Amino acid sequence: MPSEYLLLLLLIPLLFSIISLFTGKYSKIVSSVLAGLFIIIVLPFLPNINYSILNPAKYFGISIFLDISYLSYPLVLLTSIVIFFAILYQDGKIESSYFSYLFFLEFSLIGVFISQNLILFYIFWELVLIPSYFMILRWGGPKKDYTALKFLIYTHVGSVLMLVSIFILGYNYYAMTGSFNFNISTVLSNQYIGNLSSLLLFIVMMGFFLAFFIKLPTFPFHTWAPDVYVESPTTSSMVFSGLLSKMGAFGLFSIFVRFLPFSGSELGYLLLALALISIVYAAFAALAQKDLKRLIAYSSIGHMGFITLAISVLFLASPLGLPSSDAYLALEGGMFMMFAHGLIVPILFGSVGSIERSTGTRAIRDLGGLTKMMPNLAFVMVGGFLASLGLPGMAGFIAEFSVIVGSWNIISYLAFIVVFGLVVVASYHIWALQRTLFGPYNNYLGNIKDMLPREFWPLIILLILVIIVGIYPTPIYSMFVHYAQLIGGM
Amino acid sequence: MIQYLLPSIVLYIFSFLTIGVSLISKNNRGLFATSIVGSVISFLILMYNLINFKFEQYSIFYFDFPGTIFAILFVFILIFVIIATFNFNYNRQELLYSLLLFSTGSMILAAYSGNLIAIFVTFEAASLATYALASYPKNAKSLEASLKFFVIGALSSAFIILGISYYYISTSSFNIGASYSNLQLFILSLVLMIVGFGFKLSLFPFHSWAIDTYNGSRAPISAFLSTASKLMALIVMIRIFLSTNFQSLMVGSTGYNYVQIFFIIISILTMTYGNVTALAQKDVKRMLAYSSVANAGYLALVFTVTGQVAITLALSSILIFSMAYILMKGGAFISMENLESKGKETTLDDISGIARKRPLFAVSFAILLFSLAGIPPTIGFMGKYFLFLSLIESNLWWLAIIAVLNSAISVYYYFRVVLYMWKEPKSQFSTNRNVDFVVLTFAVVVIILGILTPMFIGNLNTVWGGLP
Repeated sequence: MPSEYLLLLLLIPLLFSIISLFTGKYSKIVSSVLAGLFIIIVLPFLPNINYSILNPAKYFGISIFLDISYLSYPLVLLTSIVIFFAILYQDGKIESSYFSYLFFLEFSLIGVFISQNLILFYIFWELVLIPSYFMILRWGGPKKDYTALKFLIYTHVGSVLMLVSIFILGYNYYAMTGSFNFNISTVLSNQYIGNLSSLLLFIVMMGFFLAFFIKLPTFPFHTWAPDVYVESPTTSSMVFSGLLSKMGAFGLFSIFVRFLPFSGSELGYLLLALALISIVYAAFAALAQKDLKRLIAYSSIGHMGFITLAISVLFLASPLGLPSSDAYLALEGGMFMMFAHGLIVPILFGSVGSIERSTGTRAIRDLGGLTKMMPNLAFVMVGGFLASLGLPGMAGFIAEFSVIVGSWNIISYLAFIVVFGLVVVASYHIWALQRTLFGPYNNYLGNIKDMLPREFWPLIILLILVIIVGIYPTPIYSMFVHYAQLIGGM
Repeated sequence: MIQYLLPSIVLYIFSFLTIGVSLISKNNRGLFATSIVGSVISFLILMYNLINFKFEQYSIFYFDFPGTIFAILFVFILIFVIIATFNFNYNRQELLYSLLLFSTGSMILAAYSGNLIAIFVTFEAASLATYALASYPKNAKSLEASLKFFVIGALSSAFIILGISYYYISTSSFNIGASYSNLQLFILSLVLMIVGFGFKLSLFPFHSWAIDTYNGSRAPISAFLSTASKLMALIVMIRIFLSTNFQSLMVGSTGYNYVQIFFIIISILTMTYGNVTALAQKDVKRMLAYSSVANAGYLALVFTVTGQVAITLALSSILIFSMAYILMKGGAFISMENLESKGKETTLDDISGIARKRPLFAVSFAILLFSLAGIPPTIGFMGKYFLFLSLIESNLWWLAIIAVLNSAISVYYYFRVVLYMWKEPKSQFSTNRNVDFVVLTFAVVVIILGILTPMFIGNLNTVWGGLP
């Protein structure tokens, strides 16, 4: 199949971004119709089609080489779904440029997920920064200046280091063949990586490592995430936490795993340490938060820890030569976590956004007994929190369960730390619910109104999706199984 | 031959014509029209030359492809600088236009010169005009800037002429690429010339005049000085240090390229110094001046490349980067005119909130800053990308890493300006339509060229085929 179709798929959100700029006061209606339309457009681009390269490496290695793999199809789908529900949730009174930024973000995210050329990948990776930066800067909270610059510098430093790695890979290919090529499948194949000297290999791996783990975010590089999620308006938080962190995860599963045959177990242990610290630290940090939105931000970091854990298990398992089915199970779980978390976290941020809109505060101690005045919110929020803590029957459970079961044989009793983290996770979720929704009603809040329909319906549909995916995960899960086998074959 | 000299001749004629026009019309409009007409005619002739390009070589002039490209860049920035200066209301403004046209005419000749004496004469002719230009708007700050510029310029000329005389002693020729009889003297002459031209290019230890001059002069003049005048020094240095003969001389005889090492050290210092000091600036124009020093470091990277294949790519990429540089740096300096024309300062506080009042200008300025920071898909990214690629091609991957990290530092101070522009406005902003037009044009060209660059850089290589 010619990849012009994929190029068209990529350009449609860009077109939508321009259209939505001129829609004036109908911007929300038009944008939600367009975003809904885009989900339908995405669906038939199934991952088992071979796309041709649009232009072979003619322009010094930059080629427009797009492909939808078993890994990127769920993510493209997730992007279109989250953007659609975020637009539905958004108050229509905002300037139309907000929707334009959202579509531009969708364009660059899909570009990241489907590019097969490292330079193209880098270009889209950087393009994501621009709409997100302006979204924080225009519609952020009181600390928006600080947050926007912090976000930009953190992620840009990561991506520039990645550019260094890309250059070294290009240099390596050039030294071997005398021409330039940046296609992921070529430059990152065993033949060419194997040619790198150990110093260069280390630099290359560190570049990708930092770029992906900053974006994920994992423990020592996570400090931008709570600020960004808290300072952004609700819709932006839904999109940032639901989708931006998936870029890092996508990079790990599509690029970083290619170094698998060349890394010792030291890297695996480093990753394991980061993963365990992330999970436990984020759980305790969330326990200590006074701001409900910040609590969710930390829970999001903790969930990303499972992705790091899955990767670390893969890296630990490969030199040990253990039966690899365990590692694959963990890997599939990690990939499923991306999808599940992308569906769950908008519900959490959405319900907090509704609380903030109707009560005017997010501080946990000012809330209490909201069930009485906001029964719909209580329904959605309890559903979202249960999904987030990994209740069986919901999407998050499948991901966490697969990761823990898969890692058991490889990290043995260290898995108890994860389980211990999960207990803390469950407790802060339940405790937060208890302090906000249940108990005596805080009368100082006055006579507040329940969720608006525009807030309620998107979230309840997302919740239904979470339950559907939790009960019948096969369509999505099988894609990750395919992809895990591809990694094994590398 | 005449078709290549014609653009300069037209500019020289119009340079004197503007003075004549000022005697007839008391209105600045006549002056403006005359100088615009002159530069546009010159631009059209250059475009004609580019389309019907044919290499010609004479004893002191090489009419080749890079010279033509640089000449086009000079006239391009000249046209937009003239448009941006339209709102100046100075007594005897004809001198400004006359000097601009005269300077650009000499720059075109400098871009074509292939002999050290011709280079020196045209270089000085262009420089002398710019010393006077730097004195606008004739307040204490700009007069100081102009005087500093003049003294340093005279000093650099002394270095150049000393270098040229040593060059003659060691090679008994003024031609570029002549073979030497005494290596020590030859190296000494090259070092003296690097210092002399390095002043004009504002390389690291010779940069301090640039900050005060770019900051002190009126914004469009700074744009002209920091782009056209600098690129003139660049093309002259490219002719001397990247010519095929010179490269084979240096590598062949000593086996170890001293000049390359010298340039590696200088470019690292220039990039790092410019970027690190720019971090601390509170004044946008001063920040741009420092970032212009940092950019000189990127420009100097081209001289660190060795090997014929890598040099060919480096030359194509330096064309792209010069194009990018003239657009983004020229555009960014001209943007400052929007504040200066109403007597405002150019600090971050003065620019804060401009996006709410004048979104189109703010978006275009932001695009130029993105390009300076090297964010894709602007031409600034493409220029840096190909430049770094040519470094990799000549085994200097570690230098590419230093350059990339420097580029990462620069993001902070460029985006801080964007951040301030999107704050709540504190004061009113006036509209200067000409400046808005120039900045918008540059921003659009930056994006379009950025997307198209990968498609024509391959052709550039085949058209060019190396320096004589």
